Amino acid sequence: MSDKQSPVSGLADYKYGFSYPDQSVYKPGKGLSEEVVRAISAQKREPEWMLEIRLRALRAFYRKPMPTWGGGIGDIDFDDIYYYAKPTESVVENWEDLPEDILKTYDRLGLPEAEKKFLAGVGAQYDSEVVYHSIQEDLKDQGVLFLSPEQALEEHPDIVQKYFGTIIPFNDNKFAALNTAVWSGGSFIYVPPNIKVEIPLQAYFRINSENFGQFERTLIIVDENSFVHYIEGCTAPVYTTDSLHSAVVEIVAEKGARVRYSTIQNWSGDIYNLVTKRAVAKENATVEWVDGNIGSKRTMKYPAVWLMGEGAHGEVLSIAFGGKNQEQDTGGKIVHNASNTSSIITSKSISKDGGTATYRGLIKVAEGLHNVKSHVVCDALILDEKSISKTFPYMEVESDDVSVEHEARVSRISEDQLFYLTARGLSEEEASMMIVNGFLDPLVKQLPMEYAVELNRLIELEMEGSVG
Amino acid sequence: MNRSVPQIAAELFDKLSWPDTSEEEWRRTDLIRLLPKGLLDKTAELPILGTGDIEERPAPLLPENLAARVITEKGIPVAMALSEEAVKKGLTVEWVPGDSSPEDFPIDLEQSANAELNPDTDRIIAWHWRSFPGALHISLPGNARLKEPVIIEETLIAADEQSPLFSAPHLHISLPGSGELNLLWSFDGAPEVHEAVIPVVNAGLTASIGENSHLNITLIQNLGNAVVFFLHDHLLLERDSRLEFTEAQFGGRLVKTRGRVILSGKGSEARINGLFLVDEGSHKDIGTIQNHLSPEASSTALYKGAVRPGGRSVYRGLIEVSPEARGTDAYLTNRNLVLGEGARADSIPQLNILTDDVKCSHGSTTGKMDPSHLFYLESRGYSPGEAKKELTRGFLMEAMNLVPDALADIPGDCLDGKL
Repeated sequence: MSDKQSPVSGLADYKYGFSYPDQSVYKPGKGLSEEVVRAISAQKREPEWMLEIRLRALRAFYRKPMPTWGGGIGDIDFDDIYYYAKPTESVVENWEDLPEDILKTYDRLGLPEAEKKFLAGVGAQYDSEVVYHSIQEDLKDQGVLFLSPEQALEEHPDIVQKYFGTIIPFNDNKFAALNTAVWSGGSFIYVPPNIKVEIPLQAYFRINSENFGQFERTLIIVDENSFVHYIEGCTAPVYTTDSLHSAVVEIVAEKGARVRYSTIQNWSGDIYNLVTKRAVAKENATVEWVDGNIGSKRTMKYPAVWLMGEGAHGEVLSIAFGGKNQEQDTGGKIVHNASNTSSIITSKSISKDGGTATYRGLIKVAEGLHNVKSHVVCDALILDEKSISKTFPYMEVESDDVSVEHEARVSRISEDQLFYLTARGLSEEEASMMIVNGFLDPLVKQLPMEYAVELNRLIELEMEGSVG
Repeated sequence: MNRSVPQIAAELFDKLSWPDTSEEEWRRTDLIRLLPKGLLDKTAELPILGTGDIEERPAPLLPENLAARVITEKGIPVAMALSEEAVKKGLTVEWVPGDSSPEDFPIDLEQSANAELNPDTDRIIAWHWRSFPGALHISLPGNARLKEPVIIEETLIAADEQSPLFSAPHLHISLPGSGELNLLWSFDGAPEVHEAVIPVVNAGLTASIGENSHLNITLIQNLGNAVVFFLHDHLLLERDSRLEFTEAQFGGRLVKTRGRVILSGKGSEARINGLFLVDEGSHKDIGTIQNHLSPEASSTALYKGAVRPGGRSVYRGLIEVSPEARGTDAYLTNRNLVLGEGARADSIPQLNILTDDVKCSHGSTTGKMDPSHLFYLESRGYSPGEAKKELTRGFLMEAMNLVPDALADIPGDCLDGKL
């Protein structure tokens, strides 16, 4: 990766933001129109059917009303956004060409050099082209496809056409329609049957050759009895000139497959993050979303699992941190469409400095099913009197042989807890931090180590200067 | 104020349209789909009811353990009896006609009406205040404590088989001092009307619960299965007052309620319980709001529902804590029992917390009867039907534990009738 990323600007006061000049080779004007959509499609030399979907999605986007619920997003000006910027043509293959800023960011995050080397994930990529390539080779040998959706469209149009838009139709909601109309970049993963991908796949692996943009489109297909763990973003540098990020992620877990999708978004504070994520789990398949939301101005994101086959299992682990001027409207959705299915949603949210953290979720059990179990737990921690916590769980049960449970708790850090820790020599700040860490611990444990370290550090940074 | 409550309500009514599913509150109760076309429009055109002349009828029999008994038809009192003790303690039962001049309208009733008639209200509530014949205003002054309950029996009666049937009863309870009052409001009547006639009841319950006073309300709705029943409650608690509220929703083809408990005084305490039984073809949408406006107040809600095959229930419960309400302690529980294939139960417990010094939580479960419980009863000689009935009864009756002893048998008897 190098400075071939999409444009970045004006994020000076964003803790992890950095920017480099916009050197895009092609960029249509601001605003959305049929011309823009046609131009994007033409630039990508797409097949006719994809252009057709884009145009239909554009019409759906115009037609669909803005959601009236959730975070206030009425002030988005769709005419003041660049919908596409093509990176420069040349592709740099050497990891050492990584912009210093990224390395600096990681230093600032407190990932020391040794850790970078030790951990197979993030660190190794930056340090070693060999590792990078060997992973790529390894995947190739197993028949795993890990491409950009553009590449996939070119090399495997049949697979893309078979799955694209089948989990999240182009007219699913206003922002899914917008994404379908102007999508660019993202990831495409196909794992053939009976393959367990040992190491987590990360967007960074091919970020050097692609524009991982604001309207990325991710399609993950995991064939029978296979496994993959995909990790997105984290403190990914923010590549955006404008204030709207609207991704679509579609996942298909075939019979017996298991997919885990982890993401921790830490967008800068001027981003509207409106993402549609949905997975289909077939017979005996498992889908797990690990969804952390630390940054952005407003986030509306509810990763969903549709349990379509018997024995399927869905899980959503959600962490939200609503800080100053932030509104995190997050949660999860599970739709039970088959008997003998189970699901768990665990949500932990923290609100601070007048921020809002909202859990919004749905458990739906279709008619005529047997032995369906679902358990939802929402815990919220409010750190000061100005901050807001909301919980909106929806449970729709149309079968009788079910057990659907939900519980939610809202509390603050109690004086007793603080007193106990300060009496043992911790400063009030350290004590608060420790309590928050303990509060999040059950979720953080689910993350790969390097991400757990990073998340803890992120929360610490967010917590700086807060007392009780 | 120079305009009367019905006038203000009529203006709002004309401005608003019937609620539809685009409103969150009505998303799961689609009046267009659930009611015959034009029913609400036709019913709302009916002339404003009654003038408030209490018909002279012999006073009803008053059992010893009651403080008062009021019989109403279409919300209008037709007969009444008060015990000597109740009279001595100052209990008053007044009829306030809806078209009373503003000067004759009790101030606390007017305040309740104004609180409900804001621009965000819905047309059903505006309709109630526009068309209510008058309010039954029950008041216990000073620090009088009346242990024996007051009973208000509302019966829905059809004049004939063909005429449309509508009523908008309203009950207001006023405890200005630090008194104690127990009260039962029952809705009965399965009018025998032509199947094209769908009776509509749009009821309102308001209460002003003054400092240090204690109010216990039991509301039992046991109307016929053809009736459409709307209910909205607005119960306001002052400092250190206490409310116990129980509702039991047995009948009705369509029931939509919204109970709002406002903890506006420091240290006030509300406990609200409810049960709902949903039969085949019936739709019940039960809503509660625990609205915390003041510090150190506490509230609990326990709502239990049983849904039979072909029935649908929706429970929406909200705990709302304003920034001023520090030290709030609020809890909400919803438990639904799904009694067979083809029953649908939605549960939507919500929290909206705007300050940090709170203890708020909710729990919700939806499931079927535990087979091991059934097995246990069957092994002791119950038939499967009886065992199911007993378990349903036991499940639902937990929500009736606030009902005063003198009234305790009533919900159980109604439930047995239904089971």
